[in-house]
Amino acid sequence: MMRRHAQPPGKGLGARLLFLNLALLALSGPAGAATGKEEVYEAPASFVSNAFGGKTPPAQTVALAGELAARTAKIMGHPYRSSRIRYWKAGSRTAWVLEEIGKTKPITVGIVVDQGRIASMKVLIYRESIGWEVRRPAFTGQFQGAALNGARLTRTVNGIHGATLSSDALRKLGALALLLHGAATAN
Amino acid sequence: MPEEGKSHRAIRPAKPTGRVLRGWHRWLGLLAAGPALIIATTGILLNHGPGLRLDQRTVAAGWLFDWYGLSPREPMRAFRLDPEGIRPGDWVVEWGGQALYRGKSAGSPGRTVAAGRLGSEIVVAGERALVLLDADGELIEELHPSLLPGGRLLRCGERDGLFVCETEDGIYHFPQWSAAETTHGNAVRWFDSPSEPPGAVREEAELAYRGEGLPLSRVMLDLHSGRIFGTAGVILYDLAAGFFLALVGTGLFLALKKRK
Repeated sequence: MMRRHAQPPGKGLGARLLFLNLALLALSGPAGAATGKEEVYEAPASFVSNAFGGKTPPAQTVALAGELAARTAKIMGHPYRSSRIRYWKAGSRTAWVLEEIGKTKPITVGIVVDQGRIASMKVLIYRESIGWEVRRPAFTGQFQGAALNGARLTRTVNGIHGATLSSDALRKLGALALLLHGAATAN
Repeated sequence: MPEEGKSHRAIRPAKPTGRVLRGWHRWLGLLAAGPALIIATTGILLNHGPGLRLDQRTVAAGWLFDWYGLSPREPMRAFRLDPEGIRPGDWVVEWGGQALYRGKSAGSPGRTVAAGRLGSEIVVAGERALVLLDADGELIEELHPSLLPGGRLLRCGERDGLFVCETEDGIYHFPQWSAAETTHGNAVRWFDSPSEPPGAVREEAELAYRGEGLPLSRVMLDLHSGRIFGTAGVILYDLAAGFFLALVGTGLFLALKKRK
């Protein structure tokens, strides 16, 4: 019987595989951070207007100084990014537009507080490619009715798997809005 | 011609021989060598990361910043805060939407239209936000443009200590930074248009934007995973891992065959 000797792959398949490797390397792109595009779900002005039935009250500001700054830092885990925060107030209701960094970029959140409890919360602008699930009403709806106890919310807010940092950011902002509401309405 | 007494038989493919496997083994080794070398070296270094203080050490190379996308494509826009504009502290620089002042990040105004002093405060007016800084460059407040009146921002200035801005819809000023009111454009000291930053200002801004550099641990991890080369790098490393497994397989087979 004649046997046909099998050929090693060297000149055929091996060379093609090597070429594939080099081609992949040549096509490789930069590392870059996985930065998402800025998604504006609602403009802050629109959120504020809707919070007051279309009649936006005059804006006021609260300065983060002294004890208020210290309590803010305790809630956030660091000093808040600005030393003055704008808010809108009508009766017992206040509206806040606050920001906190999720993983690498700030998340802009609108929060309405009424009579010391969160009436509504909405992610207004999201800038990262992951963790955007926190904008869903199923998540933000958990904050409704929450009040402040020390530096924590009185309601348990279940985080979202894969969006831990974004979930934490919104928890902090919810607590901060309640703290600032207390300061604004006390004045 | 077949030998006398012997008939033709069909030619059958040969079973894999040691020579074939050795050929495969050689090629697999070549294909996996490059990534294996990188993975092994970075793996050893990462294993001793705390001792080598990889988190504290940084890499600050321009080409690496560009590769990681830490260099904005847009050119820097610099704004003189004072007429002389000689010292670095007299400029606000906007790069990639970030405001930079005195070597620090100073808010995210977006593409900046104007910046100038307003009494003891500094105003940086961009398409994304109106940023207010104190004299030391600390952020006082950042206003979203939807909270401001009018259309697209055209220019900004100051009159009697009040911030004045001209938009496509008119001219406004902001008493006590509350609701905007329409006003006229007379006697407004309009802020300077952007210009090319002086050398020292540019260097300070680059350092402020990029920080001290990339942590060495980050670069090592990205090299170790292939992510430094993007998605193609990850695929390449997966392929190399497959080749390495096959290399182990062929190597074991050859070793066992030799023992027999």
